[in-house]
Amino acid sequence: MTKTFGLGWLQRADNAFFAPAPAERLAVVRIVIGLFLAATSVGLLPATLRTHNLGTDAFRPVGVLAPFVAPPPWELVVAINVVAIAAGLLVAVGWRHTVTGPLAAAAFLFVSTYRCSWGMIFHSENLLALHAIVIAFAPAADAVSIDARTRPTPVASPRYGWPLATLAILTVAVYFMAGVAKLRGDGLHWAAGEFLRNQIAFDNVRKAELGAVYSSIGSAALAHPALFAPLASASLALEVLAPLALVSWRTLRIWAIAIVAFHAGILLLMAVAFPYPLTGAAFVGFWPAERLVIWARARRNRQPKQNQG
Amino acid sequence: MRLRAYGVLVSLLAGVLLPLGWPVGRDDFPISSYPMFTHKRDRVMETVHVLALAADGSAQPVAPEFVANGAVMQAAATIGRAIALGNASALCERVARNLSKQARMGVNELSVATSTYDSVAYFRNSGGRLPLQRVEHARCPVPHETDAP
Repeated sequence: MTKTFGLGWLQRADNAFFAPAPAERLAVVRIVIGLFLAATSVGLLPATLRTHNLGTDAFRPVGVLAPFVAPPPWELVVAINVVAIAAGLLVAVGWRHTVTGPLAAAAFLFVSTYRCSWGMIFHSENLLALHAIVIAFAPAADAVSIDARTRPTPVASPRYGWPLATLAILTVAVYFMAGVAKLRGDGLHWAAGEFLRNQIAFDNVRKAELGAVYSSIGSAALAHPALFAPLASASLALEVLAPLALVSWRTLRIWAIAIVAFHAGILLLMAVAFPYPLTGAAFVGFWPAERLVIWARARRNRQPKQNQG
Repeated sequence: MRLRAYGVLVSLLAGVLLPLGWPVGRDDFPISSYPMFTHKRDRVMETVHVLALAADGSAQPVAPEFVANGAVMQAAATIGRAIALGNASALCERVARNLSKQARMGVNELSVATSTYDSVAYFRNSGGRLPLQRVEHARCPVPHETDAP
């Protein structure tokens, strides 16, 4: 009976993972991720250009750059940064996706890792870099793309479902890891709020004393210690309990809305923006995004008739 | 399709979960242990910075784009590393050169310093912004280019 139960659970998980999904939903996710890859790479370019002024002794390679003993040639990094921008746009329009998808993921991984290789590891591009890899290996340009412009839109299929499920699982796993990190650092005491209050105070003072923009809302909130226990408890619960959201797409949507609010709170209290999840772009695949395509097609088909009339 | 799907899922998920086996504090990219909110912070904190000193004795922090690549955390890391390696003077002179390219009227000198603050009191009143302690690691003049006619 135990064996049957175990196999039944695995079968249900497998069925959910390969649940059919419309090609257009994955296509909308591809467009959003492609645009974010391009826009984020544009945002990274000034930092890439400024590293020209940093001494090579400041180079602390991480990730895929870890084998480098010295910074790669600056001109090469700038060129890859430009490639990342262009490849992101090509992913968005769906042109030769089997080539541009992996190229965009690899170029973005390179430039975002390069940014982290100067003594400070950032955490705002991790999720986007992981999602880009999934899209690179997925049939994400089978609809709403230049590649598919002469082909009929395919019917809903498991081949469009598994990438969406993979994106959801990875998203939840990343937040789970952030929650576990807090528990490993200070245990459940983290939820009491003092830890968070001191962190927000530290972060804002450091920004102010380094000549950067700090959060006036966060600095004002420090005078109200009672605020921080509920904020810390809710944040920790959202992260540690994130895997429970995988029960259904509906629970994932509720969780995603809460995570967007969580990032809005971080922005307000610490002036730290995580654009990819903050804008909701990281969670587009949780919704029936194909309705956007259906709506756009209906609108396009209506216009010629109106013009004729 | 199934092999590719499970291959992508298992390899990426294993990567994301890999830091569960790392010691606390270790980090990487894009596989990360997400340690950003896990360092225990006391109210009394130290921060490193580069200060622009005016003739009237006032001090203002120099913006991160003159120190490193524009990111505040990277500026902090750059200053901290220069102090730790005994290179504070070299950093001071480099930032002074960066500043001199811009019109920075009234800034005579730069100071690379470590300051101690009560982080919660800091924003309550102007007195909170006075450091509890300040250690200067290097001081250097800001070269002023002669004004063009």
